[in-house]
Amino acid sequence: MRGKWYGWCGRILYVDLSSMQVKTEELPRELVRDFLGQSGSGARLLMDMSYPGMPPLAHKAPLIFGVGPLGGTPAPCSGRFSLTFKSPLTGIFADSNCGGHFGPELKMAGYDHLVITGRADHPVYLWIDNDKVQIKDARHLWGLDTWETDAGIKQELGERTAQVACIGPAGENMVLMAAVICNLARAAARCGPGAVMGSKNLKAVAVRGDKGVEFFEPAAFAEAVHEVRQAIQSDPLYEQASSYGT
Amino acid sequence: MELVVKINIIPEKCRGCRSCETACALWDRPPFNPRRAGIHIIKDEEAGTEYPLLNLECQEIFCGKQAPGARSLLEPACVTACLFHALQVEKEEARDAG
Repeated sequence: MRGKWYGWCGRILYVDLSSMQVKTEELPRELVRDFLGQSGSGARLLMDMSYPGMPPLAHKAPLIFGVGPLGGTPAPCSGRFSLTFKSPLTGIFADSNCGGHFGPELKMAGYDHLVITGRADHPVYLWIDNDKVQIKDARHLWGLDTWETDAGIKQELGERTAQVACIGPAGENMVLMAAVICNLARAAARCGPGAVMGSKNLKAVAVRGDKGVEFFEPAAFAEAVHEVRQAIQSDPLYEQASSYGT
Repeated sequence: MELVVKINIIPEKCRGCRSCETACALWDRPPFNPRRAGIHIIKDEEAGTEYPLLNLECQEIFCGKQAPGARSLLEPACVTACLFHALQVEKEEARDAG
């Protein structure tokens, strides 16, 4: 039975850079029922796509972007997305997460997970405009730092409101602790996802979405959001952390 | 009778989190989509500046979107959502039409 999705978008986008193939699949309901949030379902997807002894920078090694059911909603601290992959630094499972506006934008484009496998034969970047997914040439962007890449892609696409997650020279050269940067200053750096992106010859992922997502009970959700916010704000560390950071 | 609300924008206090956009969109008809919100944050990431931009309509008539936790009778959801007081209700009043 195909029911409606609430919170989740219900779709996974698979991109294979070796064959330049893009396909969309329905999100399995048992996957999100059995594993919590984007990190949980991402870990399960990674497990299914890996084989014993897989080198982290192998062509077949997947890089999985994930946005959870709360991602991009009014819930506090919900702007985060996860990167799940096999770490080139530690050689084991890695889950790195990042704030900024990239995650919510990916969700608004209608995808819960973006799974990237394979290796392009020249530098490319991925352009996701809702249902339209293109793999574009990034030879002119190769070697640029993250700020220049971000600005270059937005200018090339003519989309000021697109969100870009990209790597700089460290990722291109597969430095084992290289970060994926979005919104110029937001980094997913834990365990080196930048190196995995660099090994796939993938310079950046740009996304723009205006599809939206449905809630089961918006009023009850707003009430819950208010309760959580109150709990956060009544914490003694709140004032300090919001003024001076963590 | 019209319910009028005047919202003050203090851009220096805005940190560009865009929670006002999500709060506004939540009370719109489904699906939830912040691009349809009555408020948008214009961001210049390189300069590190943000400017909240409100629909003119929001400054004329109270939208009726009131979230739990509103501090006054005519406080719209975007103002309630702002954690940094970049949006403030300056005045609210009931005015006779015409």
